Amino acid sequence: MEFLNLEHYALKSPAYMLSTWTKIILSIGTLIMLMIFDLPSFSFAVFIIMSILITSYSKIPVRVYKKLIFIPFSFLVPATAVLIFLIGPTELYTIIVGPIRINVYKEGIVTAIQTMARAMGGISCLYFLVLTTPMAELFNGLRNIGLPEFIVEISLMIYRFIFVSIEEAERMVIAASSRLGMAGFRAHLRSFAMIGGLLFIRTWKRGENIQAAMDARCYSGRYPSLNKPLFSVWELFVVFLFEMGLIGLYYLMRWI
Amino acid sequence: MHILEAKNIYFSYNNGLQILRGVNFKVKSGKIVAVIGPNGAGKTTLFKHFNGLLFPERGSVFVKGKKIRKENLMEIRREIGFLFQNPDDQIIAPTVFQDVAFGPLNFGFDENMIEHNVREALKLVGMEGYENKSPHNLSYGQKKRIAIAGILAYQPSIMILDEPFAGLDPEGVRDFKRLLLKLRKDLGLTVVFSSHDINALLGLVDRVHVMIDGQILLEGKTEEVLSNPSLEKAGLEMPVLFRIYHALIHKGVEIPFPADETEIVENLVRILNDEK
Ligand SMILES: Nc1ncnc2c1ncn2[C@@H]1O[C@H](COP(=O)(O)OP(=O)(O)OP(=O)(O)O)[C@@H](O)[C@H]1O
Ligand SMILES: [Mg+2]
Repeated sequence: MEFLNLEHYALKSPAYMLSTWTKIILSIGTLIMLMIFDLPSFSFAVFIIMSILITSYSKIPVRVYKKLIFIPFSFLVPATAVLIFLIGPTELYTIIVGPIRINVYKEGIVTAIQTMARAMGGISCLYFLVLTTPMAELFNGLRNIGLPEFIVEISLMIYRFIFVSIEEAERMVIAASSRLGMAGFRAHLRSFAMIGGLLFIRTWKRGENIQAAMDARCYSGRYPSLNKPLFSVWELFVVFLFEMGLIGLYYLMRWI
Repeated sequence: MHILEAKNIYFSYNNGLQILRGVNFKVKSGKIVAVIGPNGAGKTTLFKHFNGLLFPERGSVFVKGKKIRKENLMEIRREIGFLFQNPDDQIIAPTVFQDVAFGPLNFGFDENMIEHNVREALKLVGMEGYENKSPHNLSYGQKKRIAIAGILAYQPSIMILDEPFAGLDPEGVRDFKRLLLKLRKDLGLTVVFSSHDINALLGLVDRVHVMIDGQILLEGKTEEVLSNPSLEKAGLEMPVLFRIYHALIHKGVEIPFPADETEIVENLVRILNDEK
């Protein structure tokens, strides 16, 4: 589960030093390009470009990035594959299973490819943001454009508690397996039920302790993030050029 | 003047068991005092009253002469650095930097000051260069150091430390003792801590409180309390130094009360030479 601690990579990435808005605009801006310019090869190109940015410029290990990409893919692929059989009318191919006839449609294949390419592009844009920007910084940025304080605070808390429960679960699984609680199917089930029940209590207790720790240092609704500019005109100019380049690429691809 | 004072406090958790039963506790400014006692004696419970994490059922707690109330908690907590027994309970932010910066940020330090204090605090506990690490992957002792840095960073005038030495390596214990003595000398810091490591108290603390079953059984100067035979009846142990001293007296060796190892060794050598 360790690789889920994206914060860790974000902090180590050289792109971390870019100002918050540069990263937000680069990521969201490219996402908007994807929505406006609907061409599978363009979406796919965006995916490649963003992946290269993430792994070479932001220095996220390829191994980690592959794992991360795999998560959305594992449900994206089956979901889009279904489209092949649903969107007609031009039949390309018919599979006959006993009394059932299943048609593969030409339009279905096109839509599946389009959907897949756009989703991949979109995912890579969001990963760029998440892998270069710690959550506290991201929310501080959003606070500055007027996202209500309480939403920022609750979001940061939820984010924090996801990790607290993962940690607790990990510890209990280790404790259980060290006493052979995970050996064999039945033991596994029994331990799993026990851990599931206890996880809630433990996370709750941890929550209370964290609350006390925050009180002891007078939590006032702000999470610290490193002192650096939110905004940089120069960086935004580079982002602007990048987006212009993407538009150029789109027209080039359509022309071909 | 007592900088920290608990007057006859009583406390029980929700289950009704009486945990603190009339605790009186006073600390003078600039002193380092220890609270010792067996597991479950109520040390942690008592400490949590010192910064208003818990409130007594009866009695009251005063910090710098001010009674702790819900209304003045901010002001009180600004004065007090609280180290939790378990560093996992203390560390709340996803990175070391963010965690150490948490106190100063909440107390309204300006950004440059925060950055300066965080780096300074990490240096003091020997953890510089860990700013961007995730604290959750650190060792127990390293987490403890980060937790300590987290309170050093906002420069409180009183430190309440729940078992600060537990889990530190010998060098860590030595460094931390030295750090506490230095902070006391430079800034007049007051320190209250609990410990199961009796030997670590010598040469550090001015006074010792012995807590048993929710009451302070014994209180006084370090050497007096730690060489008191009733300590062993209470299930605690004297420091090795004092056990050796008592054993020698018991065997009829006339020897003055030792302040540290060198003194007892020198006295023994002198006696041996005299006999020759
Ligand atoms: N949250 C709680 N709810 C109920 N009972 C508690 C709670 N915390 C502690 N206790 C009980 O209060 C008593 C005193 O606990 P406390 O943690 O203060 O002891 P301690 O002297 O710090 O012990 P140790 O040396 O093990 O740290 C124990 O009997 C414990 O079971
Ligand atoms: Mg305790």
